[in-house]
Amino acid sequence: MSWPPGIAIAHSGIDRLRLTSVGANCLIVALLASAPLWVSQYFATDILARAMLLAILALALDLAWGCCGILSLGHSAFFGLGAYAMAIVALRWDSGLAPYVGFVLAILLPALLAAVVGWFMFFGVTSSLYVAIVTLSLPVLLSAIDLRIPKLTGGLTGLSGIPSFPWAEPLYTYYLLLGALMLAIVIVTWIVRSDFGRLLMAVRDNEERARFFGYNTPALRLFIFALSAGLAGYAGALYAPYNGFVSHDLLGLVLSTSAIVWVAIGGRGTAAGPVAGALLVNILEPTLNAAFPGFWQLFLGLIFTVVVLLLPSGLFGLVGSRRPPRRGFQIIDAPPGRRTRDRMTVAARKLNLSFGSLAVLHELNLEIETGKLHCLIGPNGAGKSTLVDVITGRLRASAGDIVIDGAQAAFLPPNVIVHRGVMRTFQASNVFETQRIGDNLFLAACRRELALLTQSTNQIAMPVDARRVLQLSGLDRKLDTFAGELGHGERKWLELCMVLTAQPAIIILDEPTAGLSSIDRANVGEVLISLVREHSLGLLLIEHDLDFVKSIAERLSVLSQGTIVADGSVQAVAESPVVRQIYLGHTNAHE
Amino acid sequence: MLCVTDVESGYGDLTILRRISFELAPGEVLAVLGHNGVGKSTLLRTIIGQLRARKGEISYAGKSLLGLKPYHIANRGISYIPQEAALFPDLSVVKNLHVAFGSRKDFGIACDHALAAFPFLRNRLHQRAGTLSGGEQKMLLVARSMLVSPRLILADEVTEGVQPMQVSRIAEVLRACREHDGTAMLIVEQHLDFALGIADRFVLMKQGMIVSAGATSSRGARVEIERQLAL
Amino acid sequence: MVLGILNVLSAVSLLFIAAVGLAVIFGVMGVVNLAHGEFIMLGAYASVIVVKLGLPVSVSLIVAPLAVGMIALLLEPIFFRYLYGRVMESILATWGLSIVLRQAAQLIFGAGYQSVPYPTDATITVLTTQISFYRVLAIFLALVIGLGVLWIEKRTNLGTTARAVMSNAGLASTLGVNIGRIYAGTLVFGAALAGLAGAFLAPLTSAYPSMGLSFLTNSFFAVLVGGLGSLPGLAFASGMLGSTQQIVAIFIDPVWGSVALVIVALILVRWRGTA
Repeated sequence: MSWPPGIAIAHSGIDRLRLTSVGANCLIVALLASAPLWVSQYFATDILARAMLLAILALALDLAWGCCGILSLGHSAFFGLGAYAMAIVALRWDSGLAPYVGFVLAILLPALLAAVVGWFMFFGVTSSLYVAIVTLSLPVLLSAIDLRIPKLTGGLTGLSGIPSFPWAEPLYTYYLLLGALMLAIVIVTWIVRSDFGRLLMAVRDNEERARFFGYNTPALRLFIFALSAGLAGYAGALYAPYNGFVSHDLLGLVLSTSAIVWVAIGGRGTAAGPVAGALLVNILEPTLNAAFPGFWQLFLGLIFTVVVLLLPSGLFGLVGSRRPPRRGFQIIDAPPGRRTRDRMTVAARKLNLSFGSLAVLHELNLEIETGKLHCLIGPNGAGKSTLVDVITGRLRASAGDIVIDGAQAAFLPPNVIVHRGVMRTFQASNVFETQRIGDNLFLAACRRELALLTQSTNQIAMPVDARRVLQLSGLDRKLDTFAGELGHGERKWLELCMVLTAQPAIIILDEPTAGLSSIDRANVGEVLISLVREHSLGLLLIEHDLDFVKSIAERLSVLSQGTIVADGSVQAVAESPVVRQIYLGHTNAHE
Repeated sequence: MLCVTDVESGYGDLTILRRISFELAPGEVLAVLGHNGVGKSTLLRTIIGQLRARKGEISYAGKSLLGLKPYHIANRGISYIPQEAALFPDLSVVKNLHVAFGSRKDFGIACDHALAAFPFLRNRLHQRAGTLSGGEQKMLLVARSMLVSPRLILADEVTEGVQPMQVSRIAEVLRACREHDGTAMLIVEQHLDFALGIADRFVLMKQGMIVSAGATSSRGARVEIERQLAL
Repeated sequence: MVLGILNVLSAVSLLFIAAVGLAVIFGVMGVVNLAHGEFIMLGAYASVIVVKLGLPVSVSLIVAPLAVGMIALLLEPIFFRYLYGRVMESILATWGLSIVLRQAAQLIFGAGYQSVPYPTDATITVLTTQISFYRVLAIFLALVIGLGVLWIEKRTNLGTTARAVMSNAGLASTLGVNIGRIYAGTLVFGAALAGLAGAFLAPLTSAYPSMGLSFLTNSFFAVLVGGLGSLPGLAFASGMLGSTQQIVAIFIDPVWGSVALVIVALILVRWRGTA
């Protein structure tokens, strides 16, 4: 059977976003570059320059928050740390190298601090709240430490007399800082636009699904967090010589709070929003603060609360479309031999799991093999999805073993289990809804994460079986559609395609036919059979529909009240009294 | 008393119930039959307000239930026994009963009455509900339902995992409830004997729609039902 | 030695008192209230007002919880109601609320410290060392509050209903429990506890607009380490974190004490996550 290679090339027109995000940044930079022509020198070098530096801080925060979903409530700690590092080195070390070493330290130290803190925050059981609280405590602690070692840091009075730039003309400083801002914008835009950016968005919006495609999401977040801390430190490093002195409040919560407010008001997750928000607020603040002392901050707090509740995409959300640009996806053949294994077994042995006083799995034994179409049925609440969760690493059993190809797998995180060749679909089909179908497939196909930083590709490498399913479902004509807009049945097809694209050896499908029309159901059945027969995949289907099961399965297991009560060929098990009892409910006339 | 007309409901963009219509008279017992996944539980959840009906109308004692919060609906005299997660497993048996009883008066008297139906619970009052066996939990659910003397009971698979002797006990209790208090019931069941033993009428659902209905007393009813289920 | 132990117990108790209001709200409703520190701050300022009115300062221990509870009651329908069940929004929105409350306090009371007199200057003598009675009182107050909340939780119908809502709000609703009212009531109760904490802490720390921040992170750490919805867990966490902070503060420095608290909290949460 030959299937024509699926080629979908959509031309990328002028997308509204191209004009608004990158375009907006160009507009902002142009305005800033020409500013000295139409504002006073004082205004430019004092207010605008300072605003530009704080805009870099906002960008750094948004890299963590908007792009990756890390709510860093205390990001100014990194900015202040960078500023102090630069100041201390410049003041204490008499050498021509001092500023350069200071600069490097100002970037490395915050990044290092972020990496250490991140190691605690992102690994293990984590939540946005935990991240928020831990990052909130950073400025508090750094502030307190700063006061404790005044000999080094100058305590409350700070450090002054920091040598400035090696030129006298203040406008040169202005343009240097503008250049620094441009560099920061370019870096952040590059990351966001690269394939790595697509991965970050996916992790931000659906971390679990990313983990179940093999991505080490805690490590990714650690990397971005450290990067954003370094970027904040970079801004701090420039602030020190620009300002001439560094004070205690650079490390404080007031600056962090403000940064969050700028990013929220400007529009998080876009490269232009934070810059615009930071510039706007910091340009207006000196005048408004003088006019309404105290009330300005209150007003800003109110605007922030309202924006958060009613206008989550900020000002930028009002102005521009937030959709990433169309790519013109192109599907190519996956290089052969990428499948992890050809022959494999997954065995669950004596699994036990209780939720509090509720025993969900009890001495459960089950085996899944490649080349077999195996179905698992059982009444609601019997523990089927829980079993899948345990096998794929989402939950940990209280006792028992999972053995994948002879090696222990009970304590492995989900992404490692994926690398061993076992993948799953979810009962409520779980895809990256904020991404296009082509992006979803791309993310499923990809293997090496860091390499993504350097590329921005529109090619998706798919193996034959995945391409066939893509074609069958009609999704090959819809590669630019956002996954969130798909109907229920199409979403199931997409998830199946994605899983096949990742080339596992064994797939566990959780209710693949729920809610599908009978035509779709028949098609899925055919596809699954051919996957097993022609491509030797191993499939475990969690199912309700006994007729469907009887028509396609080779092996059938029954899970009831936490344990396997029947297991064998589909003919033998389907006719057994156990199954009749569970499914048809009626006891035979006289029983 | 309960009037369901052309109701459509589901989860997210998934439609499970399509144009469901039926009526329930006061004191009547209606059995809802069908395989797993056809939408029986969804129907009950829509009536009790956990799911929003997208189309159609549900009226109870002449007033519409659409858009009301579950607690408003429950406080009108409708008692819902869910199929899963129906108890608070870490609370004791008596505390589970307290939660359902709310701020009504005379808990002791009502409790006695309910426990008279299931005497074994008297010895388990302070035991954590999650440690009861499956059958015992279902009986506790029936007792809890009786506690508030409801006008309408919505029971979802109340005999699931229950031993035959306990099933007959539950059937007796429900029958008594219906005879003495005139309680109407909507019983979702897989257990045909139980369902047909206490229901006056039945409806059979397939893929979200009612495909067959009738009186349980009619002679061909049982055969017809089994035929439909086996298809 | 005895002084040391009492100081540690006192520090643990103060942490517990500050955190318990947060634990109640977070446990029952899943609402993250980053304005919790500001509720404490409002309680402290209630003390300031009580003193300014010429009343004895111990009256503030009744006035503050009432006042802060009332403020929460006013905020419930216009603000908190939109946050139930939405974690990210509640973090940001309550952070916004905390900014607003802080600024408002600064505008009304000024940015400086306002001292509040101790209700009692008595000291008690234990084995030839003198200890401030008030600090020892903290231990008793923590016990009273802890046991009181536990009693409500386990022995009253209200407590049972709250636990039911915490366990499965949807099920409770189908059983006729007005969960909206439970949520509002819990919010007011938690806020009142925070107000009480503020009134009690006011003589120790003085009232100033940003005082909430220093209690916020520690309270959250105590709740996160102790585990959601568990009062004994909170007691344990307060014990571990409070004693670490106090011991390091005594032997090295209060600042390093605060750092040690955060480090211990990070370690405990990380290790519990992998257990």
